[in-house]
Amino acid sequence: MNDFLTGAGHFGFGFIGGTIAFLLLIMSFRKNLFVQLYAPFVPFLCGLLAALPYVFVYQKTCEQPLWTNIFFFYSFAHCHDFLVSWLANLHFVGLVCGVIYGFIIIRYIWLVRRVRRGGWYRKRRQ
Amino acid sequence: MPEKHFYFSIGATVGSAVCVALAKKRHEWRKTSRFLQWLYRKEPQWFLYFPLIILAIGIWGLIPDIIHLMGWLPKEQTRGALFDVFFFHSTLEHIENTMPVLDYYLNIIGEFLLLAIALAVMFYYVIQIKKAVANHQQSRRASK
Repeated sequence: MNDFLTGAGHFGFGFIGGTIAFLLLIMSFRKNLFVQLYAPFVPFLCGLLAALPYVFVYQKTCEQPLWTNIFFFYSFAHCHDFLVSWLANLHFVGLVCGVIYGFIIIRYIWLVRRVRRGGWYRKRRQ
Repeated sequence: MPEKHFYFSIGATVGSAVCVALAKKRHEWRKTSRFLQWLYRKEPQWFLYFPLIILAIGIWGLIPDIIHLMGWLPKEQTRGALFDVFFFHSTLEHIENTMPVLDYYLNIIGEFLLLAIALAVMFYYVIQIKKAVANHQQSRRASK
């Protein structure tokens, strides 16, 4: 196993961070259909952003340029002991992302069923 | 070897193709297929659960690895010609030994395939929700 995070590890780190943002968004804007529809894409955006420097930065050193922190704390995460111990394992990253994706799909199915049954905008109480 | 996600991604691609065919033909097939008639009776919105088909066909590609992981058969046997049934498992394992560059690109292709399928499935649901909202608003306007 590597002593630094690979692209998949960085993607997993971004994906988990994006999931927290996604959960906060859907809980904060319960009545906003746009947020409910597109917030599930946030984990993917964060994951891709986090993995992006892996394409163009030399990966095997822990001394990454500080500016790479713009990409979801790339420099911070690259050799962080705790993160490396969990996210350097590709199977673990696959499992975590799979479970989160399953939750996203289940939530979409629930949303489709709800909207088909009663629409999105409810009548005001009189 | 090509990582497990590559075999899963081939299965997911085949599963997606099956789902696209099913989405287009399901109303037509409903007239003749007793199974689909039963399915519609049980759950009229059964097609919403189509990612399960993608998952099931994707897991088909992982069966040789699962067999090996559980210790039921040694790796030499799971690389036999018979195991090409599982999305060319044996052939791809042979490529790993002989062409490491191709193996590297296959893994990258697998990652992009999985990402594309995951996002496409999500967009499908977004379109369904938008359609449902539009239909509902239309029917409300008509009833006024």
